[in-house]
Order: sequence, then C-alpha cells, then structure tokens
Amino acid sequence: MSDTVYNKENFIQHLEVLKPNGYTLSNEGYYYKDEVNRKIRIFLDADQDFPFDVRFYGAGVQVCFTEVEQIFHQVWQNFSSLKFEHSLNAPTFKKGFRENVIGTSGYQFLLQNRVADTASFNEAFPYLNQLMNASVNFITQYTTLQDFYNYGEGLATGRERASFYNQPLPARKMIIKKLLNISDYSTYSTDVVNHYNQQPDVEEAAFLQALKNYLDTL
Amino acid sequence: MEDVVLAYNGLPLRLYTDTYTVANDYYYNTGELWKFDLQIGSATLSFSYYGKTDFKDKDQGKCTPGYYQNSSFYKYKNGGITVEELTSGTVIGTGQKHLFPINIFENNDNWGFKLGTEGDLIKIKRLFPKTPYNEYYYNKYYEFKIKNDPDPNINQPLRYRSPEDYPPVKGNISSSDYSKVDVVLEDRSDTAPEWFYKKNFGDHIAGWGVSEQQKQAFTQHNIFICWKISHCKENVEKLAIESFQTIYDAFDDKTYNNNPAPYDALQLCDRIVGEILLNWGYFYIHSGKTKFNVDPILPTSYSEEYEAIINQYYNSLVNFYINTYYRTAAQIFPNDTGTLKERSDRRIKYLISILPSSAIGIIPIPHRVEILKMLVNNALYNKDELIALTIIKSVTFPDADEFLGLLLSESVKWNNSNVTLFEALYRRIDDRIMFFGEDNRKAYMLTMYMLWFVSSYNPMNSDTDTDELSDTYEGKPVTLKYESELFFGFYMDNMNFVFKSNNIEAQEEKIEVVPTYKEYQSGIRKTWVSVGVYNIYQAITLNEYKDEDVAIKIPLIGLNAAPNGETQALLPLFFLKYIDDRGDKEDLWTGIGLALDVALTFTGIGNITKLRHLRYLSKIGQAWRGAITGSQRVFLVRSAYYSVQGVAGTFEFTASLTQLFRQYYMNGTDCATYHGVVDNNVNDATPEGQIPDELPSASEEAKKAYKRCKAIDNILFWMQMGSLGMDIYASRMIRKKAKELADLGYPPAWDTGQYLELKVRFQQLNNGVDVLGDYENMINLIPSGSVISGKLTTDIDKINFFNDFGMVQRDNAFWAQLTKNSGEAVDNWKQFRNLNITDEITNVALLADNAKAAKYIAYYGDNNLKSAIASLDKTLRDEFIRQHGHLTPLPGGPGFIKAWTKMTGDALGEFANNVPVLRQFDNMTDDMIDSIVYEMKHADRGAGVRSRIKQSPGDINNVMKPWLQDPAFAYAARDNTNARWLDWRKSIFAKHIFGLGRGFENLCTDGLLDKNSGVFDDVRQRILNATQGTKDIGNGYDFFPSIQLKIGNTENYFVADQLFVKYGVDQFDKDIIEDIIILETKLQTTTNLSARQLEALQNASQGFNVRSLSSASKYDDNIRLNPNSDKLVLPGGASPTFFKLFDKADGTEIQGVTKLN
Repeated sequence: MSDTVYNKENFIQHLEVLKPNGYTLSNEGYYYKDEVNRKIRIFLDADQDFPFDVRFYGAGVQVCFTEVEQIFHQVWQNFSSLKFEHSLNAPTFKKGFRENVIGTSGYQFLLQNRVADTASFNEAFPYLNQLMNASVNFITQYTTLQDFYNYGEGLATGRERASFYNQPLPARKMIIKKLLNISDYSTYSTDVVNHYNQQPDVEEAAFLQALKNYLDTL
Repeated sequence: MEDVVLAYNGLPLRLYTDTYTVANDYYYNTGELWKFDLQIGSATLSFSYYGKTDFKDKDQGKCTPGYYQNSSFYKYKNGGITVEELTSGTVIGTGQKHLFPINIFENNDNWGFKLGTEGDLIKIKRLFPKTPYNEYYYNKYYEFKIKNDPDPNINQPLRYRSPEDYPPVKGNISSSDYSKVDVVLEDRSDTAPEWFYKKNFGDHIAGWGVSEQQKQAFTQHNIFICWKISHCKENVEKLAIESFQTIYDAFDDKTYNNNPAPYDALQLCDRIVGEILLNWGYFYIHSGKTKFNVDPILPTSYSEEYEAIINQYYNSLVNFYINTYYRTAAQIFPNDTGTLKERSDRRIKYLISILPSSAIGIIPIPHRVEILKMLVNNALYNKDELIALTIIKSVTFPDADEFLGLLLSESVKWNNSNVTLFEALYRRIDDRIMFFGEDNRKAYMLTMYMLWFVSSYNPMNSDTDTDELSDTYEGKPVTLKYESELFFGFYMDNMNFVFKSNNIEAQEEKIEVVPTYKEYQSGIRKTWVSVGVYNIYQAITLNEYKDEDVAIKIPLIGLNAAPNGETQALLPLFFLKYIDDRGDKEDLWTGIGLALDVALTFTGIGNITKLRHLRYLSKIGQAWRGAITGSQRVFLVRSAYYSVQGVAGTFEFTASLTQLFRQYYMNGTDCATYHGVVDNNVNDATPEGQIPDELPSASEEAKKAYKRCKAIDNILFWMQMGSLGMDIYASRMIRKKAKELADLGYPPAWDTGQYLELKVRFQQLNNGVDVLGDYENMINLIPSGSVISGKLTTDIDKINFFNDFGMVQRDNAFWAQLTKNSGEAVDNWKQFRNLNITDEITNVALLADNAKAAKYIAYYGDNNLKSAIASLDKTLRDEFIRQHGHLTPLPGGPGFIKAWTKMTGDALGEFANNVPVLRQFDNMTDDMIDSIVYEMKHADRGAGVRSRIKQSPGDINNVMKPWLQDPAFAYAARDNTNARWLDWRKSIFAKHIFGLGRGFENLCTDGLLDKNSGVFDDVRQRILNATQGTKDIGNGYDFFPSIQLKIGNTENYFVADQLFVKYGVDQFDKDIIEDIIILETKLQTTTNLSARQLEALQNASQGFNVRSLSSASKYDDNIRLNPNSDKLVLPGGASPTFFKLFDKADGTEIQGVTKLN
C-alpha cells in the first residue's frame, strides 16, 4: 500500500483538469452551467473510496429546464405524501455516456484502473476526456426543450424514454407537451390522469390531476 | 542396506522408512543432522535442531535440546507458546508435536526416527580446514557401514560422536567392514562469502607465525563467519527501505560515476545496509567482480587480539541473525508509515534496540556515529537514551580512538550554534536524578571513561606520544586545585566546568575583597576565573586532593604504579566535569555509589595490564601503599544488623592488620601456587577467565592451601569493594569467606610468629559473627514493652521480621517509626508481606505513613490491578500512587496504569493526570493501548487526536477503539465517521485501517461488476437459493455499489455496499421499481450490522431516498440515481430485501449469504 492518501481534495484537483470551458466545478464534484432557461450538470461518474482512490466509470448529463421544474414544483409542494422528492434544480432529462463513447475496452480499463494519484489519473485521462467531450457535444447539439422532447420521442423503447426523462416521466411529459404546445397534450394528460386514477397510489393520482388542472389554466 | 545419517547425539538414523521420509536435510559442519523436512503421508513438517542457547535466556535451565518443528519454535520465540508447551511433546493439530520424539530409548512413537542397523551405510560430511588454508572451503566425506548394533559393551545403541568412533578405511562398498574418506573442495567460487574469506583471511594466513593448530582454528572460525554472512544477507535487507539494486546503484554512482546524488538521497538505514553488504563482498560479486573489491574488515595480520576480534565479529553475526531471522519485515515494522526519514529512523532504532551491544559491531564506527547524530537531533526520552547508550557501549577497545575522535570532530546543531557530538550527547542523555528515570548519563560517562582509559588519549598508554592529541597537552596531565566541602548535605566546590567548542573551560572561583561605593566599607565579590581551556579528553590530576572531601570518590589511578611511589588522581577532564555537575546535586551516599560503579566498570575490562593501577582505587590500596597506617581503620566488618549500641557484632580491619594480611598473601610461599593458577587463568589474553575451585592433581594439603588462599583472595576483594561503599554486602561476604577459612583450618603459618595475630583476629571475627544469634540479638533490641513484640505472634512473623529488617539501620528513629500510632507500620508491613509488595517491604517511612501505605495496599489488593502496579519501577510506582492513589473508585483495570506509564514524563505528560482519559484505557489490551498512544504521539496526527481526546475522552472507546479493533467495521462505517474525526478519516492511518477492512467488499463489488465472473455467479446462486428462486440478479437488475441511502424520511443514512434495483416501465414509460436487493458485506457471519444498517433494515418498508451524488448503474449508463429526486420504494409497502454476505474472515472468498428480512 502506498504511503500517500487520495482524498476528495485530490479528486477535485483532478476534476479541475477536465473542466470544460464555461463550466464551474462544484464542491461536490460536478460541472455546472446555468443558462437562461436551463441548468446543465455534467458528472464524471466515479466510485469514491477515500482515502484510497476513485474509480471512474462514465459520464452523465443532466439538464434542468427551469420552467418545467418550476411548474412541477409548484404543484408538487402541495402533496406531502408523494413517494418522490423534488427540488427546483431537479433534472428534467438525463443521459449517460460510457460504452457508446469509449467502448467496452475503455469501460473495462476504467473499472480496473483506479485513480489514486496523478500518474494513474494521467492514464485514465484520455478516456475521461472523450467522455467529457461527448457530454459537452450533446449539450451543444441539443439546446432547446423542443430538441430534448424530440430526442426523447425518437428513442426506440419505453425503457430508454424512462431513463432519459427524470421520473416521474408522465408528469414532466405533460408539462413539456403543454409548454411546447404539442397537439396531443389534452389527450395525453387526460389519459394519464385516468390511468393513474385506476392505480393504487391515490396520492400520485391526485398530484397528476392537480398538475393537469394547473396546466389547463395556462 | 539403507543410507543413514547421524543425529545430534551421534546416533545413526534412517532417512526413509515406511512411516516417514526425510527431505531437504542439512547438516552441521561436524556432520550431524541439523534441519530437515519430514514427510508423513501427505503432511510435510519442518524440523531443526535447537540447542540450549537457541532458547530464551530465562528458559535455558529447563529446556531440552533436540529437534523441534520450526513453526512451533518460532511461535515459542515470539511468545505464542511457553517453553513447557514446546518441550512437553504436546500433540498439536492432527497428531503433530512441537518436539520430535527423538528419545531413541523409548522409540514407541509411530513416526520417531528409526535407528540404522548393521550393514546400513553411514554418510557424514565434516568441515575440514586444509592446509594452506587459502581456499574456501574443504569438507571431509566419510562413508562406512555399521558393523554392530547395539554396542555390546554398554548395551545401548552405537553412537558415532567423533571421527575417533568411525572405523578405519578399509574394503569396498560390498564388504561388511567398508569404510572410506574423501577430501573435497566445495564449489563456492564467485560467491560473496568466498571473496570475504580470501580477502579477509585466506590470502594472508600463509605468512602468520602461528601453529598449525591455531591456523586450523582460525580457518574454521573464518569459514563460520562466511557461512553466517551468507545467511544474514536477506536479514540485513529486511532493514532497508530501498531494494538491493537501488542501494547498489547509488553506491556505484557515487564511487565510479562521480555522481553522489543518489547516495546522498539514500536514507541512513540504507547506507548502513549498503555498507554492510559492501564489506561482505555482495557488491563486488554483483558487479561481475569488476568493482567494489574493497579492503578487508578483519585483521589481516596476527596479533594477540586476533581470536578475540574474530570471535566478537562472529558473535555479532549470530546475534544479528537470531534477532532478525524469526521476524518478517512486516512483523518488524507493522505500522511502517511516515516520511522516508521517519521510516529510516524507525529501522535504525529497531536495529539498535533489538541487538545487544556486541552485535552492533557489524555497523561501521562512522555509521554508528551517524546514528548518534540522528538521535541527538531530537529530545531523547529514556528509550532513545538507551538506544544511544547501546551504541556507545558497542564500541570495542580497538575502536576507542576512532570513536572518541569522531565524537569531537562531528558536530550537530544546537539552537543556533554547533556543538560537538560529545557535548550534544552529554546534554541529551540525562540522569534525571530529581525526577524518575535511569542514571543514563552516568552510564554514558562510565563507558566513555572506560574507552578513554584504554585509548591513546590516556597518557599512561605508551603510544600516546605518537598521537596528535599529545601535542594538545604535551603528554602531561594538567593539575587542578579541585576542592569540595559538604554544606548542608550538598557539596560545594570551587570549580566550574563549561563546554566550549571542542574543549572544556575550567573555571576557578575567585573571591576578592573589593571596595564598595562607600569608602569605609568593603565587600566580597565572587567571580569565576578561567584557569584554562582544555581538550575534553585532557587527562588531569587533582592537587591537594582529599578523597574524603569530595562528593564523588575519585578513582586513584597512579601515574607511577610502584608501591609507595607517587600517586595522584588521574582522570579525563570530561569525567571531572560530570563529577562536578552531579556532585552539586547529590548527597554523599549517591556519590559513593558512583565510585563503586567506576570500580565495577573497570572490572569489566578484565585483567589487562592497566587495571593493576586500580588497586590504588580504595582504602585498602592506600593501606598497601602505606598511605594510612597503624590503627587507622581500613574496613569495618558489620554484623547482619546495625545495633543501637553500635559496637556489638562488628570487626575492624585496621591498616596494620590489613598490611599483615596482605603480606601473608603476597609475600609468603603458601599462596604462590594459587597466584600461579590465577596468572594462568586470568590474564590479558583471557581477561574473563575463571579461577578453578579446586587445585587438580595435588596432595590433599596442597588442595586445602589452595582453597585457603582463594578464600583470603576473596576477603581482600570484598574488603576493597566494601571500602568503596558496599559495606553491608561486603561484610556478609567477608564473614562467609572467613567462616570457610575457619572450616578449612587456618594456615599452619598462622600458628606462630607475626601471623599468629591473623589467626587470633580471624577467630575473633568468626566468633563475633554468630549468625544463629543474629535473630535473638535483634529481637532483644526491640524496645521492651513496645507494641512490636505483640504483633509478631508467630515464628513466621519473627523470622520474616528478621529477614526484612536485619539489614536495615535500626536507630531510635527506626523504632519510633515502627511503634507510632499503635504500630500501624508493623500492621502495614504484614499486609505488604501478604500482598508481596516486596520491594517496599523495608521502606519504614512508607510503612509508617498509614495513608500512603493504604493506597499501596488498595492497589495491590485489587486482583485486576496488582500485577500492573507491581510491574512498575519503584520510583514510578511512587509517582503513580502520589497522583492516583486517592482514586475512588479505583481504576477498573490494569490498562489505566499501563496507559499512565506510557504518558507520564513524556510528550503526553498532560494526560498523566487526566483521570477521565486514563479510565478509558481500563480494560484495554496492551496492543490497543500502544496503538492509541501511538496515534496520540504521532508527529502529524497527534495534535488533533490529543485535542479531541481532551474535549471528549469517550472518543477513545467510541471512535478510536472500534476502528483499531475492527477494520472491517471501520471501513463499512467510514462514511458515518464522527465529524470531529474527519481529518483522521482522511489520513494515511485511515487508509491503513480501511485497507484491512475493505478487501472483502472490493472482492464482492469487483466481481459483481462483471456478470460473467465467478463471484457474480456465486452470489446470484446464493441469492436464488435463499429466496427459493424468486430473485435473480442476473435477470433485469441494475447494480449500484456503495450507495448512500437516506432512511425513511430522515436525514440518517447508511451505505448499501451493493444495491440491486429491478426497474420496469408502465404504459406511460413511468419507472416501476419491481424489486430492490441490498447486500452488506461482512467479514464473518457473526459480524453484526452497524447501527445505521440496522436502522435501515428495520425501516426498509418506507423506502430510501438517494443521498449519493448522481450515480449510474454499472450495467446501464442511462439508469441513473439522483439525490433528492429518486426514491427507492417498492409498491404496496413491500420491503427491499437485505442480505449479509460474509467470508471466512480473510477477505478472499465468499463463504455464505444470509437473508436478513
């Protein structure tokens, strides 16, 4: 065992090296940039095991469209028994980057080569850099709420959409359809409310009903 | 015909039988089996022969030499089993024993050695020193058949103890009396030991004018040294930080590439290791014999000291080998953390502390000096003082000049200036007379005095003229007017001695009458006037020296050894400074003790020529020289007790009687034989020689005369010792020897003439010392009617009282102490006896102090505390009682006392009075106390640890102990570390602790990352089995390791070591959590969940909010958990399922899984 420690401050120093232009590194260890309509968070995923090391294993992007989350929050706060939590910074969408960027071999390299000092960080750096570039490119390519909505609609499976949206998806999708003036908003929201009214979670059904009521007033 | 070998006792043994096979067998140089592997069925056991000296010193009287299992013997050496367990033949494990059942006469064990029988072929290899002794090395190979069995003459198995027992060369292999001998040069070419042998011995022996017998003996000694060197190489390397190659390269760069930087970067421990390996030839061989063909380190020409020097070197190697062989580097340095320098210092301190002074001889003198410099750079606590002393004591006489020279030429930083290493050591090594501690400075000074005495710095040595120091003081001592007088129990003197660079300035008190500002008055002004600045090693004599007037008895070493010639005190200036410094603080009695120490120190030199001067050391010497005469008392032999009246039971050796006694002993013919035996046995070559008890091969009368002279010699010796202050013990010895003399019958020469007085006086001495009457005499002295007699109700009480107080000076104050307050002191004495407070049993002042005695009795009376308090040194114990004797309740366990000893008088002194802190240690093991104290003292972490402990002593047991005790628990709970201890959690120490605990968790997590791994399959099957096939982590689950989850709706959280979540989606793409599995890894099935984990388990149905920063599933990068957003809750109030995954406690293998809910 080496006689040096690797603590969060060392981790933060290494994250600083990878920081993209225009982003700020938070004390918790993610990059963020707040724009007019959205808040962007980029995570370099890492299992932290201080004072030993960290194990990087991917990257993730979260985008909070402020208008969506404000509406969500305004209604959510009246329902104290809901089984999900919410904050105004909650992501609206999230997406991960891993094998699709660095391949299986890159992923395996990161899993097997923990970062415990600058030397090991330098070895991981090329993969981390690729992951960061992919994350930033995605954010640059998809900018508006419409872009993200379209991206989601283009996904092939319900499982993929369920992962792309921050859950609960039906509530957020209702809000987005309303804000984007998507033509099937009314049908969609009515179907959602009706469906969840048939489900055992009455609190959630009530929340969705209240949300629809609110959206209908906009 | 079977092949057989010889056991250590000469018995022929078979190597292969139906029940066992011997393999990897090694032999002593005399041919006997030394160590071997024994294969019995599928088991292989390793044995070696262990002789008495291999056992611990304390066990050597009760051990049985023989073949022992190495693992058992190591366990014994490391304290794991006792000598009784080792040697009892106890069965361990599956039929194994520590001790090989080599008792041939009772060979009923099914795997005992089988003896060779007639016709078996014995093969023996013995070391053979072969002329001209320049090759390394020859063996003689003997091969012969066993002729008969057993030996018909003694009806016991035949033994072959030496070549004399082997049959003569004869016949061939097929004949029954076959025997042959071959001399073979073993191939050790191009090895370091071969180089060492030739370099240090083989290339030089031809020209030595010594007998063949001596040459053979020296050859054998040197081969032994080389063998030991080959065995010690890896042990030396254990003490290095860097690898052999790195050290070699650094030496290479410095020596051959003009690049000293790598060498300079080596830590001192690595330089020492390098220097040793260099001198042993390992660098030379490693270089392909192109470099480092360095000079020999052993003498290459013969002198009288040669044998002693090589013996000492060999013993050093043996000691080093024994002290390092049984320990791995990890065992030696279990907490090998810190900077490189700290690690180096640790190694050096360890090296010095484990080795006896003699073994340190393998470290070159300049490096020993380097170590001393390292030590004095910091304040020395007792342990470090002892390490420094060990080094100083390791210096042998031939090295005295070099060592003394380096102590002056080497300087160290002291505040803002440089001082000599000699001075720095003097300042650092402290007697601490006024507190508790050892007389370490005294030991330093006595050792230096001894080295000085034999060095060229002593003008009595003939070669001083050639020494450059002689220029400094022209080969002559300086005479100082040193005077001293007793003043209120302390000695005041007229001189002062101050270190000044390489010198000591002697200052004399000058008293002047000076005018004051008023003309009609005058005043006294005392000033110190320099009388000279002298080299520290300058020899001085004292002018007008009166030995009864100085605080410390100064040994009188005559410049002229002739009796009645000029005698003066001769001593090195540094020793006078020490006497002066110490005398200022001490009373007479301690001073006398020092004089005795001086005498005993020089006794250690042996009977070298210079020691003859020491007879001037005492009053007896003065009587011999005629310095005191007539009826002046030389020595008073006391009875076994002091009497109030003062005269009964004493016997006075006057000067005239002493002179007569000496005259008989020295000049008469009666003791000439005895003198001859002494000269033959104790001389410069054998200073440690013993004088035989009996005169061999002589008439009965001659034998008796010899014994008489020995008794007289003993009496003279004890008179000398007694006159130096050891009077009570000397009195006992003189009385004993006088009794022996009487029993032998006084010498016939004492029947008439001048020596008749000796007989008369010795009869008086013997009659006056009636040992049997001692008790009654003493009891009679107990003041009549005192309470004491009434308390000594049994014979046992009376005998104990006599034994305990017979040697105590019993004046009126003594009786007063014992009788006051109705004899409380006697009651306390009885209790002290019952409780075995032996070292205070005669401390009358303590016994009479009822309150204090009660504290001792309380601690000794508590079974939990008794051994801990008894183990303290008296002074330390007294200090402990002073500080903590009053505690109510008493400490709950011995850890309190042990922790106190580690803190008092140390960097942790502030805690020695902190009862709440000390109580935390009550029931801790020594190891745990050591670990916590280590943390408290740590250079980097210590300040923080101490500060927190001061604020909250309970943290010792609530935070520190759990960490140290259970690394797995510490690792599992690492994210719940008490906020005050966060910096500890970040430290290298935490890394070390966690490292012990995280192995198993990592094994599981890493295995579960890969669905194709054996671990994944194993865990999957175990969970399937535990859930009747309902939960399959291989089917649709996502995996998140080490996730912090908040419990219910609280902020409390726990760490799920491995979290599995099975997601589904409904028709509106909403996540449906179908199942949650949480695994907690534990080192053992009995290891409990942490408090938070338990809380999580009990409240599982409420679900868990994610606390960790955004995490992605290891199986799908788009499945992400977000803090304060995702809640892990199952529909319908179902609970996530918890499992405990545990291993065999070594962190290497999954042993089982337990479903917890």
